[in-house]
Amino acid sequence: MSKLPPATVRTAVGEIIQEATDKKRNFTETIELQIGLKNYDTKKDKRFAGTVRLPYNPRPKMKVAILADAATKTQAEALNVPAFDVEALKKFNKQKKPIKKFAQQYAAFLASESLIKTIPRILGPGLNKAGKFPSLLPPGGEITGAVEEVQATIKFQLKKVLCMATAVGNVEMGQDEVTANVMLAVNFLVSLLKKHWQNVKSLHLKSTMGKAKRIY
Amino acid sequence: MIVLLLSSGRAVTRRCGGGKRRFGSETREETVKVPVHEARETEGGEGCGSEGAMSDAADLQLLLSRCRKDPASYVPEYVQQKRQFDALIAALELRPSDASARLGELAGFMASVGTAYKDHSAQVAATLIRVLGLHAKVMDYELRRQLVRALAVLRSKGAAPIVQVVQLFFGMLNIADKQLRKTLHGHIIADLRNINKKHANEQVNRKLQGFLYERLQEPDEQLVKRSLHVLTELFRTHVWRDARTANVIASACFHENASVFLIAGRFLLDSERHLHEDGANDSDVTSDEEDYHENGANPRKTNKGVKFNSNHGETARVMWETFHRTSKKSSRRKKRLERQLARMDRVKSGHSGNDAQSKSPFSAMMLLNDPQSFAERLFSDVQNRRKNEKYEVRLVALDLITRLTGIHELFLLNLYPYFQRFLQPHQRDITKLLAYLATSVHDLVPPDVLHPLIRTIADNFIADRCMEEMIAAGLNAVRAICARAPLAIEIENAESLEDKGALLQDLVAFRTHRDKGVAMAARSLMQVYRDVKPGLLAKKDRGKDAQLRQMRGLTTELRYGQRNMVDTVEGADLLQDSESDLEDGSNSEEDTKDVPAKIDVEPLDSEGSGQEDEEEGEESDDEEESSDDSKDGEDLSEAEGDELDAEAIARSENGTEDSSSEASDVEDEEDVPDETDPALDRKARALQMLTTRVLDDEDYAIIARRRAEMASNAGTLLRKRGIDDRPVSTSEIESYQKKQRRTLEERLVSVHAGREDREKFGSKKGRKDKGGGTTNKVKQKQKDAMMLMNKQKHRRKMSSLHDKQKNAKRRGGKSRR
Repeated sequence: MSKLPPATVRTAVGEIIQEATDKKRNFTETIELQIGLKNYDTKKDKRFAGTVRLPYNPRPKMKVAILADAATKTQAEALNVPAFDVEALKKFNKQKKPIKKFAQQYAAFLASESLIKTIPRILGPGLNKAGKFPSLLPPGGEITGAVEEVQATIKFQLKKVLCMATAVGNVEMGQDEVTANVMLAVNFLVSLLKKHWQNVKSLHLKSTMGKAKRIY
Repeated sequence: MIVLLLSSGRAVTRRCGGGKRRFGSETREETVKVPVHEARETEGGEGCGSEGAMSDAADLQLLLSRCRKDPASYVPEYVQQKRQFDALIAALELRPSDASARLGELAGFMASVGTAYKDHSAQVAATLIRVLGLHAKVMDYELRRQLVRALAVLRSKGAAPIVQVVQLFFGMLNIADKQLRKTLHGHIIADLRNINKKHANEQVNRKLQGFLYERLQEPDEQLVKRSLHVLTELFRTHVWRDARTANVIASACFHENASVFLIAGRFLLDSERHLHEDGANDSDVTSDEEDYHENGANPRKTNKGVKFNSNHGETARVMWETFHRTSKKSSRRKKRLERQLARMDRVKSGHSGNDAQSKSPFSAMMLLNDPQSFAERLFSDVQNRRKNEKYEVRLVALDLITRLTGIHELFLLNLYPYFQRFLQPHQRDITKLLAYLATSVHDLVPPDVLHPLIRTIADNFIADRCMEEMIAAGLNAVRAICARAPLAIEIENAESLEDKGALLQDLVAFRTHRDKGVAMAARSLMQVYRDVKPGLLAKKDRGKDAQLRQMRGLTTELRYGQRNMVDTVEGADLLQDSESDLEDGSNSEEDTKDVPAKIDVEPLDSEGSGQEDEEEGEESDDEEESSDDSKDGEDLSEAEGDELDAEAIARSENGTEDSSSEASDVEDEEDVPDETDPALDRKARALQMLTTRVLDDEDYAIIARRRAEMASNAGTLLRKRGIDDRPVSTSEIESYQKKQRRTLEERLVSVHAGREDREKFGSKKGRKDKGGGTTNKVKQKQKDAMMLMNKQKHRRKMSSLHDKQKNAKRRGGKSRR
């Protein structure tokens, strides 16, 4: 018997989407997966962190900015992706507040290879502090693909408390897509844990404004 | 007894002027005597000598026991004592340094029975808090202890507000009275443990923590130090194990006094270190012992030997008995048993306080609110304010900074140049510094910051002119740094990959060094790069595995800022193999695909199922097209395990072209995935499975088994998972050292030690053999002939006539025969 039958996930997702369509909000609600852990022993288990790319993009509206050299910048601007070059970044002059503001404006950053090494020097620790240190824009890779990859990538990282939450979809996605995302996310998370299912206390699915549905 | 006490009390009171009351049924007498008694007390209460005090105490004891038994009948008496108490307090406030034994006794009395007389005792606790708060420093030490004890009793009965009491007690921690401080320390901890026993009492905790945060900023060094001791103990014992406490303690790192900093700093470091030592090596006895010394939590095990008690449970008892009944008692076996019992202890203690343990398993260092600014501030302290502190203090600070940097992946770019000037072979504690440096490195540190450091280490430590230990230490340090940031060793401006690895190749060349430690260090450095970036090594050093991987194009280009992102579960494709093995189907792909599909289709809603089926249909079509390839892929995976297959070689040769073309033209690398690539197809199927079904514990077991099999076939070790945030230890830097030949003195010492308790050498002849006797046969042979002759003679003489005849007959008979 499977620990988490796909049917349960599917019905939970269905209910969430149904509730969201019944009571429409002025924005697209995100569906998130909330995880409670148990028997987690920092003495024995290493801290874990992992990123996984979901098959369907859960956050298509996530704002991603590109820190790029001149060529990539024009390329990005043509695609309507916000882009900044070295001069723009140097204007911050390492001041903490403006950098913090800048970091708050975007959910994630991408940087081209020539620039990324210099970012710690130009911007200081500001981006890293916000947990938004840019990831590498694959050299020569197309920008939209890279942005989508960032949007579809979710991160599991344990910090200070024994619970986590990640976005796995939104209410405008199809039921199957969300289910597939949830399954992959759960599989990946459980594979990270040392004792696998014995470390999982609870799993909930919840939309931004909806009720939490316990699935495990 | 009572009669005796009473009579003595009466006698004394009469001598003192008859002011003392008696208890019992003589109520009439009391009413008469009260005014007199009161008058005496208000006069100053010093009428009686020491005898009087003694009797007072005895009376009070008596009254106490009676009040306990029947509080309602003794209200007037209580009120009486209360009045006396108030008067004495008033007197004390006028002259705080005066000793008053009576007041101490009365306070104890009030505290013990106060809860029974709530109407009259409302102010006692408040009065005590006020008096102690104002005058504790100048008070008589005995009285002070008594008042503190009384307040603690009131606290335990819930008759005093905890916040004020704990604040007061914290404030008194700098009083020069060791015993008092010990009591205070114990009370604070016990009190807070009690109120947080069932669930955290957030209101009180928050208030007190806020108060303590301010407390720790005060300049009074003694007070701050002792408060810190209390706080750290509260954290360690899981009473206050939360982010707020951790941050309060951490804030003491910036206290101007270095010894305060040391307490806070060591606490942060230790809490992290213990986590690692506990889990790291159970075989390491010394670290276990350290644990016990630190925690003081295990009275059962001592350094001298293992002790067993009933808490260990049945398994331990069996172990213990078998050890004593059957096994040979070598010290090694004994140690092993000790370790096993200790481990059981630890497991037990982990489970016993399940509530406390589960509160927060994180170390204090993980709980810091803003590690970046904390580390920055600490580092600027080391460079400026604490520049002239003792070396040890600065070492602790550096240890803390580097550990934080490593764990939280901080950017502290000034740190690395700061280390550079210390990197000399003759620097004090150089192995520690190297270990700290390596600890502070993480994969986001820009390589151009680290490269000069590696260069410096290479120049100062790793050269033929240096001592072997230094070369080994240098190589190990480089290895530790490069394991965390492999790009740091690359030479920036070089053109080809081989040129970039010139420095690395120079270092790896030491692997043929005659000293074993050096050779081992160089080889381990080589191994690091075989795993992560074999291209940097010289061709002959890359190893078969790495070369094969490179030829097949399986190695991914390592770039700065690249996060290892995956889109599948590690080893999920292995699960497919095993499934197809189990089902033994001719068309294994179809079978594996069916399994998830079956599970999935049943619960589907009508729309959803259609969609899903369509998708799956497409997928399976694709698969049928490329089924040949995927079969090849499975072959390939099998070949991976064994030695090289002919087919595999052929494939890998194809791969070489691919990889070389990729290397030259990197841009194509992550573009369109090759449709016919079997690895990708396997991946797609794994993904398909992972999105439709949740893996069980059984599945993970299968994966683990398959991976172990593959690894053992290939003769390689399984790689560990998870982030390695373990701090680099000095032993990793020191590494193996060849045993030197001992000097004459050392040898002589060991010779003399060996002679103690040893028998003299020499012939064993003539010495008594120990154990066992001689056999009867031997005894018979060895018996003295004279003795035997005598015996015979004697026997003949003493035997009876009958016997003589019998013997003669026998002899005669024999001769006749």
